[in-house]
Amino acid sequence: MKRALVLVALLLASVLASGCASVSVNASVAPNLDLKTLKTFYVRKLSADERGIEKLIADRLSKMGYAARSGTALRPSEPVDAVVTYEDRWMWDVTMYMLEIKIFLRDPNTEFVMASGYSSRTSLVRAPPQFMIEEALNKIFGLPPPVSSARATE
Amino acid sequence: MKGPGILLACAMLVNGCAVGNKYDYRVADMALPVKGQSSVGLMIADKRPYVLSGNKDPSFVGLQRGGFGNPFDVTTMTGAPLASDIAEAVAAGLRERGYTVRVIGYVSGDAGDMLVSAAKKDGLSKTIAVTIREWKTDIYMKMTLHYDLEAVVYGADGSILGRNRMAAIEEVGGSGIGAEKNAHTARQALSQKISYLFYHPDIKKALDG
Repeated sequence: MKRALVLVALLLASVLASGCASVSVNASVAPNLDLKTLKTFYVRKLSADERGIEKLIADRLSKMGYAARSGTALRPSEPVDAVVTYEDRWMWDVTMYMLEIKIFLRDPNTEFVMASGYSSRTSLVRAPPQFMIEEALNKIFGLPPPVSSARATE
Repeated sequence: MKGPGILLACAMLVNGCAVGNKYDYRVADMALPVKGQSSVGLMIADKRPYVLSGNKDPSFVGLQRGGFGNPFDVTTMTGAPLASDIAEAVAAGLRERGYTVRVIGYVSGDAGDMLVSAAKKDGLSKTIAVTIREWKTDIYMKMTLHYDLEAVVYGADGSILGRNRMAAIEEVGGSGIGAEKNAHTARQALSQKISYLFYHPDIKKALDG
């Protein structure tokens, strides 16, 4: 019985530990949508967000060569090609870390989600929000994943 | 006696979040890419093979896996068929875009001529039939979505005005702790896939205006 208990404990530990190292990055783009037609973006701040994630997304889009700004207004003051919304989830494991970021590119008139992407990383493979945002946006726009070494510098 | 108790505790620990999960698809926020003022009929047909064969209840929406990967069924929050909940969500999305919607019904199996006769009876200018050939989420460390959906827009005379079908197996998010977080991701996926069905040029042409 003792041996069985040790085996169960080991199995349980391996199952629980495997949950700490899971990475999932994916994107979905509406068929027939040409993402190259999107040049200007407005990132709408999530009301519950106190970490300034909207600025990080706008910064990343700007670095990718797009005209991007962010704000709290529901609609941008000037017309844009897409309104960007997001959802971020955080978890505590010794320190707080971003568990998941979901990014949605929406039609400014209908809120139709033209494209979306996400990056999900559990504790042992955690990365800075900037890196996860880059992962999600690169996936949406069909770019290669960001270089892992960038994780240490951001 | 301690041994079995510890084993039971371990089993409960790794399966605790996996049992009895329920998702409410009725409140999926459909942002559909069409706009119009016409009166349309809506029917959702559930043709998932395991539902037609009776292996799964029509309220089945997916699997939540326990600590060892052992699967537990996830069902609708209402206990109603998935097709019924999706009909409610799509109807709300269409109404939001200006349409007057008459939900003709949902069926598990063939729709037959039900659509055309209902359209004639109610004076509907168009009828939308959405067929679910596959829809289930499978959650372990990640949420994987299996879907196969088809939308057909019929004219009042039964002619096909537009048709679109989409099918894939894809990851749609990380696994959340608690059923509601996973339900939220599942609803987002449903909203997105249904709206992509309607984004097809033929469907848009048939419904816009």
